[in-house]
Amino acid sequence: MTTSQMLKGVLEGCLMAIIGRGETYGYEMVEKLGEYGLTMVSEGSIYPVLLRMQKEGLVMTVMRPSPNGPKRKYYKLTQAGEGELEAFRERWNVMAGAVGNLLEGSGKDEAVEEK
Amino acid sequence: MKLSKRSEEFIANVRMYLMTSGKNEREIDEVAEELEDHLAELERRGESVDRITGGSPKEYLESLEQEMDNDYAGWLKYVPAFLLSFAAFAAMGPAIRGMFSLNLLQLVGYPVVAAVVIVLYRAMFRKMAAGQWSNKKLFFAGGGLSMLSVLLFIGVLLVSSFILDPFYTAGRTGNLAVILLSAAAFAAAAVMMGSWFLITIPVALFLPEWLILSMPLQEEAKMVASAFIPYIAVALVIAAHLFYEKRKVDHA
Repeated sequence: MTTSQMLKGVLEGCLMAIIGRGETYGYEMVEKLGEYGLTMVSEGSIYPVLLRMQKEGLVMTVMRPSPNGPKRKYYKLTQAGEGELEAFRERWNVMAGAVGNLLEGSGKDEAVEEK
Repeated sequence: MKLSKRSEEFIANVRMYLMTSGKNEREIDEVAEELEDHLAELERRGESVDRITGGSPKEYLESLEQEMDNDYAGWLKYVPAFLLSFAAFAAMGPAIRGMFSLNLLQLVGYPVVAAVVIVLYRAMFRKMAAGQWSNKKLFFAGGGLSMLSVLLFIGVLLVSSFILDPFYTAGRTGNLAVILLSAAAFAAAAVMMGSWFLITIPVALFLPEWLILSMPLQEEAKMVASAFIPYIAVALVIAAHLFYEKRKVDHA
């Protein structure tokens, strides 16, 4: 499993965390994710997720002119989005801890099997 | 900043794919604008559209399709316009030649053929958008499909007139009435679609033929002229349209 594939499952949470740090737009989100070492094979995959988040009321959007010419869509977390981000953070901590324990323990299991 | 041709094509394909899956027009516009902005940023850094799709446009389009709302009602408003222009296309030619007639088999056969043609075109556009076709492939698929649709129509026309007698054969006034009704139908369809380009095609196709046939020429001259001139006129209209669109884009 590649990092990009693993990221897919938690992309919504990561995007909420990025947007939670201040209003931002699509390309900038990808850049910021990249700064944390979270790179994607297909950068466009953030847009279907953003659409879903918008429909679920987790983010709101506003159109502003960009230096490129066309208007740019900026995202901001709603109150529901803040709540969901907090819930994601808790779930992630549980998950990361559990997977961490499992991986630590896996060495022991192998040692037992080898005997 | 102007996007590269490849990026422009990608955006057009995204629109095409989402349109043919009946998505909400406003949402399509929003997604397309976001992707354009993203592409502009990528190109500034010397990257290409592959960064967006991960090299598989088909998979990417499917993931977009999944997340977007269907808006069949929004697209349903184009159905009457389509039916009107379709019926007018089928009726106007024979009426101009003074031989409009209708039999029962045609009354059933034309709508069936129309439905088949729509399904085939939709399938082709979707395959094209997802597969990022080359111009050559598009030319042959599009050419083949439009030839097939003409053949289907002529098939219904010929077969039905061998089997059945028409229940209506127009006289002089009848043909004139059909011409006027068809013209009105084209105009109505153009208003409904909000595009006058669509009406210029039938005008280019039928007006020259009508003028030629009503001129005091020899029969052979009329036949030859009406076999070529309408198609030249259509080609000119399409060329003028493309030129106009290009100028609009360049000035934007």
